[in-house]
Amino acid sequence: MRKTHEGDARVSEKEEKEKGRFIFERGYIDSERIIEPEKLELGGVDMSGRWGTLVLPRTIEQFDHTLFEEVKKLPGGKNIHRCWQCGNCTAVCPVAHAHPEFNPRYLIHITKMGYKTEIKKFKEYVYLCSGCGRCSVACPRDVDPKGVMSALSILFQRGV
Amino acid sequence: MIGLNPVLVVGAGPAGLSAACDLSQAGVRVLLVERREELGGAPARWKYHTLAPDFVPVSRVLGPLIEQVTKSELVEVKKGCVVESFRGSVGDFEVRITELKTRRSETRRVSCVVVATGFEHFDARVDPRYGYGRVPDVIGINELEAMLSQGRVVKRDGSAPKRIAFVFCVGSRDRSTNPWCCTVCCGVSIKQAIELKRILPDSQIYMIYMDVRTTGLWEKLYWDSMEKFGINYIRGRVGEVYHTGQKLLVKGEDTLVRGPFEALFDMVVLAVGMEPGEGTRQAASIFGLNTNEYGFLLPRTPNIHYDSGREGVYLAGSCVAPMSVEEAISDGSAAAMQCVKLMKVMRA
Amino acid sequence: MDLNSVFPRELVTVLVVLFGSLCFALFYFRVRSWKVPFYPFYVVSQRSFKVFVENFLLLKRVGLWCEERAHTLSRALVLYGFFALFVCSVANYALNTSALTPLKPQNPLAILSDASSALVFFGGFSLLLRRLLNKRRREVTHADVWCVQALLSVFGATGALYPFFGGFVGITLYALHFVFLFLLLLVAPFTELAFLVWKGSFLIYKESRVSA
Repeated sequence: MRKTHEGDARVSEKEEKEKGRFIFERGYIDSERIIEPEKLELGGVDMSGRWGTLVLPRTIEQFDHTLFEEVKKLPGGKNIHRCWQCGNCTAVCPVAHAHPEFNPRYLIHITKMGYKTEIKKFKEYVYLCSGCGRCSVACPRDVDPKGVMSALSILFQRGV
Repeated sequence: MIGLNPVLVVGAGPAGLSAACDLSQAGVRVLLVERREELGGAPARWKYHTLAPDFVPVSRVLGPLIEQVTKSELVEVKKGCVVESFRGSVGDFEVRITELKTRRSETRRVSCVVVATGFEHFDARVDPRYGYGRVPDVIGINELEAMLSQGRVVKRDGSAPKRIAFVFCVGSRDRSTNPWCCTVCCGVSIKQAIELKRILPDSQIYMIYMDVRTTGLWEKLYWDSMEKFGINYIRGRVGEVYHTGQKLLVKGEDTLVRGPFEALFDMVVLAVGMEPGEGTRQAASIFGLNTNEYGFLLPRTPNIHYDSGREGVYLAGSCVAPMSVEEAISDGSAAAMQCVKLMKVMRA
Repeated sequence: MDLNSVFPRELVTVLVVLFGSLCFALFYFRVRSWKVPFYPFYVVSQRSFKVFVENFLLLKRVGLWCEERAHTLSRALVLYGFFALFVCSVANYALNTSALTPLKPQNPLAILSDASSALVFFGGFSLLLRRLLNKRRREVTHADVWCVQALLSVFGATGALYPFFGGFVGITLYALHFVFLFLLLLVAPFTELAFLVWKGSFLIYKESRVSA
């Protein structure tokens, strides 16, 4: 589901596979949501490791529009509010066809709604954008997804 | 057309008023029977504020029709009355009209009939997901329209809502409630969202939709809502609404994210659909009309509304299919024309 | 007429350094206004240069826009043309054989310089045409892109043509060549080019860190 980016110097794949390895259908769960405490004691009982494993829910609990407001201020992103999620941009994007994890429509959606967990998962892929501009030509609402991708490339460097 | 019996128009909503208005202007006598104590149908009953897509006040559209109908000497208006029975042949039908308050009846003779008994809003208590009728501050678009007419939208405790969610397709496009699409709710909801944003500019409004069916020239409402008024759209469905004690917790699925969401709102507005009402059911049985599987009056051919298949009885408006006020007005006009044609033939 | 006397080497050097520094400074301040790190500073290293050569010059991983061959080709022409031109200009200046004065086209360095200019011209001009001829593309193109593509085209054209003209025409073309270069340097920090250079440095920086 989620390809590990080659240049990713974070948690190694081996470590990621080991977390929660005993969970049935482990492949459906994002590693970030699994908490496996090395040391945990509850009421005098040792709950370390497997016994204290917790899987955090993936429910989106807030709509946070601050990132959206920031994107609108950058020159390329001023029309992001027009997007109605039709998917024309992704349909013509040559990068999306080779790398499905780069999805301009989806990036715009999670930015507009402010879904922090999804942004964390997908923000590194925004740099795959080649700037060909086909999305902006195809967009029926003149959102200029190319400009929005540039704006997001800048914004995600600010540590959002 | 002196000497001929009047035309019976059943229902004084936009379709019925339009038919009565046109008939009277064509010199035909009209007997207008309306179940409620006021003319105007659903727009009057629910105090509709403005009409999509241009925010035209309802009074500007229905006002002239009501005025013509009340002032014209050719139109006899019977409020608070229903048609109890119907028989005879074209040109000389015998109807019994009963006044609901006093239960007094009278028998009248009419040449032909226009049935324009309209619709009812879906009662959202039937769909328990949304907590309508149980949970405070969950209202329908009809109730919101009345609040907008007063220019004041408040929660039950009197405070102004800051986060409002509109849920599309309540009681429509659903096998468990009503399978058809009500055609206008998307546009009406968006129109209301824009009006809400004008009254409460600091509010955040979310439209939780399955599709956005703002057809034809109503599309600009959709665009303006996003581009000029910053209204948010979430593609998904709501599974449950419950009250935390202070706010409403709306639980649903965001289709585009393929994940669940739970968010707090101050007010939830349900886009309750249109369904055939008691009036239409009665009319079907009294006038011997066919209905389709959903209870709407069934014309002889699906693309021509006025032809009921029964000679001298014409259909108009949302008793035939869900439609907008402007379409109902045209429908009423079309049915009126059939009456005029019929009466010309009868005179000859 | 000797261009050397009309455009003394010192004057041209000063102007190029001036506009170059201005361009860089504007670029730096623009990137800082975005409140993000200025990555070009981070990529001054041997490893980064290796990454740059592999990915941007040898196109190892770049090039997903390959489906539209004309577009890819035009961009490549501009990219390589500009680098080649830069290298030639530096070579000319260092050898004092003339960057700043015209050569007779028989000299190999001169031919190379001229060819690079021509590449820049063809690339820039076909990019421009591609946008001009399609109504929808015209509508979605911003002013800064028109500026850059137009300037690249005329910069390349004047650079390729001036060696073949003597007298007043030659001087004018030569002067215009520099005028367009300075305009390009002034305009570039405010265009998409600046963003691409910044993003490019970021990608090089990231890649060079990993391939340690």
